[in-house]
Amino acid sequence: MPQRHEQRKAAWLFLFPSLVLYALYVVLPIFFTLYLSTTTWDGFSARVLPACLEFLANSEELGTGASLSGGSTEAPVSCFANYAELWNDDVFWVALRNNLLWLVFFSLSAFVGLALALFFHVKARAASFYKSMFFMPMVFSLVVVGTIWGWFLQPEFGLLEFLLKKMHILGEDEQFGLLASFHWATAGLIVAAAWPHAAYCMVLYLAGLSNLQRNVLEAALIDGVSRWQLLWHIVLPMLRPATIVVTIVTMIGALRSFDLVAIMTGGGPANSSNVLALYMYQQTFENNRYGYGAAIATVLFAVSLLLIVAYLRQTSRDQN
Amino acid sequence: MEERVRGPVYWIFATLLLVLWVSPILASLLTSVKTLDELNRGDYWTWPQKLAFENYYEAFVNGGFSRYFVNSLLITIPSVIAILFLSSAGGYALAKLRFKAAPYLLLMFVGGMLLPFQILLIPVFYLSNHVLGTYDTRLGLVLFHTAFQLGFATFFMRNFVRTIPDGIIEAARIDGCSEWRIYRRIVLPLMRPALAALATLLFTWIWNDYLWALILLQTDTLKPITAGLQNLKGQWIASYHLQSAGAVIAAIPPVLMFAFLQKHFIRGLTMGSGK
Amino acid sequence: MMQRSLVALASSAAFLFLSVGQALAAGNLVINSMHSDPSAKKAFDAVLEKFKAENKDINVTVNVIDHESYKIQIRTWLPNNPPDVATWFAGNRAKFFVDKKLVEPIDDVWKPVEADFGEGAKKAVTFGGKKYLMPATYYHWGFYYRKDLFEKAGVSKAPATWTEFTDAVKKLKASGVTPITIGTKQAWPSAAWFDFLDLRVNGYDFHMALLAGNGNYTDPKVKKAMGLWADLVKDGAFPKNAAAMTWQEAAALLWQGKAAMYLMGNFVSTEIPKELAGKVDFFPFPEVDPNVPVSQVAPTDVYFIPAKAKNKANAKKFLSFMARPESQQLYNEMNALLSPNTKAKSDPNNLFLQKGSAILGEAKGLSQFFDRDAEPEVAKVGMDGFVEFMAYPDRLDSVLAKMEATRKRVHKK
Repeated sequence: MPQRHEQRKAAWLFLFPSLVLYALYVVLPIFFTLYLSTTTWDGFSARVLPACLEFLANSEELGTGASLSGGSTEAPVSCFANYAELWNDDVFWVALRNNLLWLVFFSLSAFVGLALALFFHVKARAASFYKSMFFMPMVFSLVVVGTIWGWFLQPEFGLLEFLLKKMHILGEDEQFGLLASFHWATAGLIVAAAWPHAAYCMVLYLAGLSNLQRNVLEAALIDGVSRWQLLWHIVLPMLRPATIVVTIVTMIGALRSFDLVAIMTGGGPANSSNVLALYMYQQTFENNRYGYGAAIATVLFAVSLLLIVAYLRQTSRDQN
Repeated sequence: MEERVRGPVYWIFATLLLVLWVSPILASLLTSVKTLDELNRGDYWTWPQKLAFENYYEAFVNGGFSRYFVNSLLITIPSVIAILFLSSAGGYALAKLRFKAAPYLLLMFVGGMLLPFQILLIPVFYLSNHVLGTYDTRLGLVLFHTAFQLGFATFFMRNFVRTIPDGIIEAARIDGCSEWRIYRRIVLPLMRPALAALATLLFTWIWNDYLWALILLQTDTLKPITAGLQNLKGQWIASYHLQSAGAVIAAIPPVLMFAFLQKHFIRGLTMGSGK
Repeated sequence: MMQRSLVALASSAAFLFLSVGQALAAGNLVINSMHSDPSAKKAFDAVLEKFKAENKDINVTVNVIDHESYKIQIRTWLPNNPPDVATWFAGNRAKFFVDKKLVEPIDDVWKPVEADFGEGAKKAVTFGGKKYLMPATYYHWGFYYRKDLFEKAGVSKAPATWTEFTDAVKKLKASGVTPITIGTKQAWPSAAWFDFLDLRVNGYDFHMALLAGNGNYTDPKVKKAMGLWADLVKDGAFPKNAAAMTWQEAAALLWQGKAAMYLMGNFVSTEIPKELAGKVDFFPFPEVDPNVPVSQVAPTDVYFIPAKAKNKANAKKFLSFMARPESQQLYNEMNALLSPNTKAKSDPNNLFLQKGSAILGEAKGLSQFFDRDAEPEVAKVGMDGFVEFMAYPDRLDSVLAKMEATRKRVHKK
């Protein structure tokens, strides 16, 4: 028993600095954001009170004079005013729709990754060079990816436009202009984002493939199973652990998408490619609506929570 | 399925695929050595008349990339070291020390690594500005990265430590070693491959961060290379040759790291995902 | 391990203390500037050298941040840890910060130089009876056009009326170039069109009242002005990819001869490539209704002192220095812009400046610019709306309705 006590003490000591940092920067902020989402804080005023309790502050004294609201004559506002406004905010719905589009189409990069992994799962000295080159985008910063792809897809002067015209896929006065389009800008962003992500999925699937038990595969081949059957009934099921990880990482990545949108389109044209993460940033730091931004972040959090809980259940089941 | 010798058709197809795959990179590489005159004339995609390597000089010296570069190192390296230290200790505690809270703490760390970090944006900004006073310092960024990456890193290390046989540790305990000594003398040396793998991953992720540098830093001379590149793009909006040169410079360190430590990096990715 | 983290904590505390201590030392001056393009930077360096030569005891630090980022980041540093001097825009865009008590009044700096500035400049920096900003620069807007392309299309002279203008657009289009270039990846260039059309069709007073929040964006008069713009869009006068281009990328189309004219501020004139000298000229936005007196858009850029600045005495020294005619003349000559200080001369060899100061002198009124005159939130919704409108001119009603809804929410009436 003294040993048990010893271990418990040691464990808490070992974890203490981590827990302090983690509480300060990760755990408490979640609750703080939930709280802020009930306020109309503008980032300037010293006091942060929920909208429905603001009349308390107004009746006390004049405050710092930085209050945005019209004064104490107004009736108390609902604490969920931000959410009510979100409900009627066109841009919010566009951003949410785009996040869902990301969720669906960004997942296609996992298939690309799988296809590339199957294609390059070859033992040859040259193959490892090819693989390295395919992996490369994975280590680029998204700022770099955005710069490279923004230039590649630039609608007037970009290489893609140039090549399409050279190959007469596009006529001289036709334009592809992916990023200028209200309908297709998000597609352009997802393609750029899928580039490093497919490489990442390729790595995971290649690792999965190299772990496959060779005797099973050989036995199947000897039995005269066709290559498609082999893939569908044997290889893919054996890759299931990799697929679970790829799925969760892809979905979280789709919800987090910020850098590429901010860099390549800024959410434009006219918010048509905006996503929740960027819209939250814009409302908070460009419009000084911290409360409203927090409400957007909360919605994003709620959507992610579904995924996180699903993953945690999966993990804890595997751990036991 | 594997290890079959491939014919020339395969290699031709593979090469085409590769060229297609890297064509955005090639576009930037080509533009990065073009002169402004050529771009002004609209000659974007012809072979450059002369290789204008001075664009790189311009970006590195006049564009301040040398400073951004150093800042990235000063932010990334301390963060990685701090995380390795904290997560290895935490991972050991969660994997090998018996206490009731362990599974819950583990869930907390795993849950945190999947968070959309926008939920943390305003509070961390507020915390740095009004509570800790670390706004607009590199320290503030180091503290945040350390805290946020702890979720993944602790989970990662804990999974690795679990593979170390209990026997070794029990034997040391019976010999009267303190837990600190066991961690320091026995577990840490065994962790070396995992630490190397984790370090390469963390280096890449933190080096590549843009959002948090945007939020927590203001002074130009403190910015890391990602924020610096974006800042210069704002100044050189139609100067694609300089933008491209900047992008290439910003990509070099992670690419070099990947080239030399590819094995660790890939093992890190697959270890992090496997259980 | 505990010890280590304690040491880390202590050393970081010491570090903080040190950095605060340093900032308190006398003789510092920190300036944040958004004028990041090369010519502006060079001009600012030249002025700064003079200031440093006069004030050898002041240790000056300048942070140059690119224009677009600056506009966002100022909101985070201004209330918390501002520099001693910052650049900004005159008009409502500054009033936003003044109302939040983030700007230091500088009536004492103004007192000795008041006679040097015109009434318009003073009005743009005064809020509630106090002066808060020091104007350093202003400039005109209008059309920059390729004379060679106009001639080739058979347009013999710069259009002065709307009929002449639309006629020129048709001829240019027929000659195979894009008549008017524009880039709205950052939405603001579109707002110039709204400003000018509303000023020309409905007049200065109507426009200024609307932007101040006392009008109605769904007014048929506003729709009438926008209708002229819609016709241009429908005729294909603008590039199809406008929404993905920045203003510089759009300018490249003009330099490359793919487009014939550009509605822009005079800062674009410093970007004209050397080979095109003499081929690019300027004409003011044409008259639409002869009964409406002509007004112009002339944004003013200013310096101000944040309320929480640490070295206010030095900051005031700097603002007094920037108010002088010789400082403004030096800065604006290098930048090809105009000086608000009436004693400063504008470069007589710069034709763009001579034409610009002439039209501004004759104008009935000067507006700042849509996003400086309107409340920031209304401006944001409006400019996104203009971009949408340029792609889908049929959505005019819904765009104006959105602007009106935002105006109502922000102005509470």
